[in-house]
Amino acid sequence: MSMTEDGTSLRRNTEEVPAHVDILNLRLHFGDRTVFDGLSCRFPQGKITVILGASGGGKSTLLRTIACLQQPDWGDIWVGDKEVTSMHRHQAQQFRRRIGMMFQGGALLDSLTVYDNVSLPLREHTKMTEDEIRETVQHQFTAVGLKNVDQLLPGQLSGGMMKRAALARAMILEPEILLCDEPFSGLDPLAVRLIENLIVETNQRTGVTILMTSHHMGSTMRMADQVVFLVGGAAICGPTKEIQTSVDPRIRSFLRASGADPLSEEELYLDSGFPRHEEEHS
Amino acid sequence: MFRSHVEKLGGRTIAGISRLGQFTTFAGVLLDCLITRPFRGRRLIDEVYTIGVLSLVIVCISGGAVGMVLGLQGYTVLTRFGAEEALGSFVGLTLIRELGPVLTALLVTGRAGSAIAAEIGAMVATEQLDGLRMMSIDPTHYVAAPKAAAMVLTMPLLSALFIVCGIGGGYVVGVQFLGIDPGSYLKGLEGSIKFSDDVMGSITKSLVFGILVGMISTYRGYTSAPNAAGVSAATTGTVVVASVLTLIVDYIITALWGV
Ligand SMILES: Nc1ncnc2c1ncn2[C@@H]1O[C@H](COP(=O)(O)OP(=O)(O)OP(=O)(O)O)[C@@H](O)[C@H]1O
Ligand SMILES: [Mg+2]
Repeated sequence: MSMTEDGTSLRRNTEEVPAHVDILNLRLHFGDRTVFDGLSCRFPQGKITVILGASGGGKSTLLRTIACLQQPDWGDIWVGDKEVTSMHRHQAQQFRRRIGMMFQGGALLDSLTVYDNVSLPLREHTKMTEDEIRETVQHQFTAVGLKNVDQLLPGQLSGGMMKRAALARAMILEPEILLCDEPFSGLDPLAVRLIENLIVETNQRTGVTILMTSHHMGSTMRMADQVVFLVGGAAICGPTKEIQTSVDPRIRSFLRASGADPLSEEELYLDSGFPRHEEEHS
Repeated sequence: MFRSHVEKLGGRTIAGISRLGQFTTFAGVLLDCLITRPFRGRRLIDEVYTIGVLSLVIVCISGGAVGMVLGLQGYTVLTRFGAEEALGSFVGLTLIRELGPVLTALLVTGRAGSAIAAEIGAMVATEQLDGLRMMSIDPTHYVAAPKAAAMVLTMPLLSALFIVCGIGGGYVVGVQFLGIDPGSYLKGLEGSIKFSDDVMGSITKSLVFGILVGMISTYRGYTSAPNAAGVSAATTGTVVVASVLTLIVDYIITALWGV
């Protein structure tokens, strides 16, 4: 649940809403690199949870594990009343229908047009007629603010349009849970605000539980109901306010580094070892 | 020193065997995908078209060139025995029984097989396959199976095309350049080729090669590492493994069934 000394107070706060995703004692390593070392946390139903942490801290891997794309070495993941890690191939395939995922790079099929990409889940899993599909997809495009992109290929979209198209595809089957991997990376500040509003609006409109990873502190503080902080293979989780005022030195240094001070921000990028243009900054 | 060599050898052997097991599992899943619904006819036709279009020109040109060389070489050899009239059956039988299926398989591997591995590898690298999984669509069913099936269907057709072009090339050299009687060229061709033996054997061979190339190229793409180096390794790996296996399997089929 929570790794901080003031764990009891965090527990009280996160248990007010029932958990939709509950992770117990997750362990995972690739070779001799440990990614999760007894990670436990819970994601409340219908809320937006932002997963923070250093580059390489395992944020994407956590989402992939929840989506059953990555098998952990140890531990349980409960989604509703289903245990995810012990599922077989076919069960996992069924299970994923309840989950939408927005990948960092969009992951649209580049041989299909945007329209065909977004309508693909409908064609595969529903018995809708062509007219119904067209109507549903157009409705979805309007919801995410995409216009005149039907016949474009994914390679012809800008970064922001790609994110919108990915969100449209992830939401088209009305999933219970939406996983977003870095929805703001590579976007300008204005586009960050737009996608941010889009996600919050989607959450309020449909009541979908949203788990997203981000490096973007500003938007995290604005939109998150709960924050999960990955450090050293474990998770510190709590409501946004509590994380903001946390005394844990690891959280404090992360918050300080991503604050308004441009110099310390620069240092963070240097430390992370990633080219700067890959990260977003407002 | 000696021990470390033994250890390395053991490690390689185990890795090789586990790779083989992985491949067999993949082949099983692929077969399972071919018989489970929904049947992806549209995807299959698209893939047949792509593989066919990719390989059509090189198969025709190579077939013609090989046929012309066979015409020249065959003429030189046959005149030593005073049997130039047999040029038609020489060119036809060589192409149908052996060179047609084998060279087509090698050409298609280099052109379409490598393209399949690269395409699937790039889809792995850009998380498109995971994207499909998250839509509850089995990527083996949607991406790999239609490509492999298309390869099996296209291979005999391309091989037939290769053979026709080759026979044409032999005709041009033999009849137009070297002055063999056209009647005897065609007569020899017609008289010596048995449908049940030569042609069926040829079709069998190219079907087997199609299965081989289809499986290897999709498998290598599917299991490639998710980065640019992984894609390039999958591509070259496909060409090398499929080409060598084609030649070995060709010998085995010929030795066992004499086709
Ligand atoms: N398939 C894999 N094989 C080996 N190592 C992996 C694999 N996937 C992830 N890792 C390792 O696991 C660690 C966590 O990776 P992950 O992508 O989850 O980090 P992240 O927190 O999402 O980072 P970023 O913020 O840069 O996206 C990294 O050290 C990475 O090298
Ligand atoms: Mg990541």
